[in-house]
Amino acid sequence: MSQDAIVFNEVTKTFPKAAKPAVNETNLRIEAGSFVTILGASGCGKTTLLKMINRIHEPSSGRILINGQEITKWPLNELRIQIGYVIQGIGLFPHLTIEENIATIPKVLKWPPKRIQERIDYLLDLVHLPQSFKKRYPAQLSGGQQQRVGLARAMAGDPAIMLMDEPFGAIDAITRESLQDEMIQIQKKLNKTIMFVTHDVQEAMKLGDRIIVMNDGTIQQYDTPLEVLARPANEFVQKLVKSDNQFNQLDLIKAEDAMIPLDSVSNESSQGVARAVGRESSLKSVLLLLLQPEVTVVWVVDEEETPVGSITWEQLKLKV
Amino acid sequence: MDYAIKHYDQLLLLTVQHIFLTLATLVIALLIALPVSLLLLRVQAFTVPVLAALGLVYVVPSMAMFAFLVPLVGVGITPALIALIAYSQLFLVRNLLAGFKSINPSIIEAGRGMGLGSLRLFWRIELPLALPIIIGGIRLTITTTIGIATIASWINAGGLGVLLFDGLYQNNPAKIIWGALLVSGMAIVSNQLLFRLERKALRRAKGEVSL
Ligand SMILES: Nc1ncnc2c1ncn2[C@@H]1O[C@H](COP(=O)(O)OP(=O)(O)OP(=O)(O)O)[C@@H](O)[C@H]1O
Ligand SMILES: [Mg+2]
Repeated sequence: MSQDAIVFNEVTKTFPKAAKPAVNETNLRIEAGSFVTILGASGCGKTTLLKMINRIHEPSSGRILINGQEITKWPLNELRIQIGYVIQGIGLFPHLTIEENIATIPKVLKWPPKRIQERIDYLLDLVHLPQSFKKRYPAQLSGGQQQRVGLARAMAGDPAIMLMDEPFGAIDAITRESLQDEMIQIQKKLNKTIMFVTHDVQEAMKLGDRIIVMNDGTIQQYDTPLEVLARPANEFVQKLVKSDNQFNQLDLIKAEDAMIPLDSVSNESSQGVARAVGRESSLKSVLLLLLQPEVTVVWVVDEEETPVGSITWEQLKLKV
Repeated sequence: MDYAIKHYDQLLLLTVQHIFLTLATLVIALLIALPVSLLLLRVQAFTVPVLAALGLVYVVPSMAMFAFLVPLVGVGITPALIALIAYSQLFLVRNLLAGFKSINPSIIEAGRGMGLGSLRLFWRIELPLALPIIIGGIRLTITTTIGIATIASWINAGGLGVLLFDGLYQNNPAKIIWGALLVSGMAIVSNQLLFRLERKALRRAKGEVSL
């Protein structure tokens, strides 16, 4: 299970006439079945990184492997058919109906019509679009609905790997959240390897098993959301994740990761009122307790209600 | 009216000649313009000089063009076709280029990225989307070709121009009127037909076809 689906080996991409590489000497291992989000400012090379995987761009140097095999060894379109690609600009075919859009790759694969129909039905359900949309054209759908069709189309040939470039880019917060939830469901259900580019720190944290933080063509950190938050690799990462809504971030940090373990706690905390939370509680709930009048310390307790550590106001400020 | 009834066989023959000359021009011109445009789309640097050259060709007066061609290939339908095809290239190449360039690049990237072969991408995606503008070019080409083809009768290429020239030389208004009527009728009808086709292609490309 822990086989690497995608491997970057010293990959550099310098566009013609560009002063510096868009992606620089990158090494990366994406485990099969993992959901990796890619975060970074505009122009830092996120799209370029993705597009080298399905060979829309060729690396200037270095190698990329998929399931242990170098990607240049596959016939180009065979490689691409195995990789679902949700493009930054959606790119639905405007002259084809929704079902024709989704059926594009199954038709290339010469699936029998019945199987294609079943696949379309299944995918529309999966992305929560009504079956009645089949005969519509992209222009008759809202932006969010179009992005769902883009997702369904990319998954039509049942690719093991999905590259998603800001798939929920221009979508309002509410629709976006429901699409994110759908993505998590889909990932759990179908166990695909997903690389997902986003500008949105919250989105990256919520969806990613691991996060790639990029800057200037270089990967700054490749870690779990918690590690990125708790131990940013450098100032850039720290600034990026901090500049986002801090209150929401508190949701992602567990109390036990922020507490002062009991053995190093002095007895000074006897004055004032104390409250207790479980190890797995978020720092958000700790903050809410600390904001109550008179409360000066929150104890972190284990399953047997035994205190294992404490968090004070000062401690909380240190952590965020 | 009398003239038309008496000479209907000649009128018919000349009209058929004219239509043939126009259609032959269009088909051959398209067969040249399509690969040229596809090449220009790959090698962008040539686009401006080629369009400039085609523009120059287009502004050469037709009489001068025929006078230049006759010593090279003689009289008849050959120099007429060559001249008409040369004139057609401007509108055809220009609109073919504009048509393919009008396609949103995300659409093509999505198609390539999902693994469509270039032939399939061309026929299923690029051509239908570029078609409205291409038909616009064909419409301009046909109307101008119908017009210029009348002058081609001067070098023995036949067509309705024969009526016009004869009418002028023989001072025969009936011939002139019938020639003018048929030529402009042809131009107007083909313009209207292609205009409808263009609108239909546009609705299709935008996905506004109601089923
Ligand atoms: N086809 C191209 N030709 C030349 N330069 C390019 C090309 N595509 C991207 N670049 C350059 O490479 C760099 C990285 O671009 P890339 O599209 O990967 O950024 P990104 O991180 O996806 O940005 P965004 O968040 O805005 O989508 C940029 O400086 C960009 O200008
Ligand atoms: Mg991008």
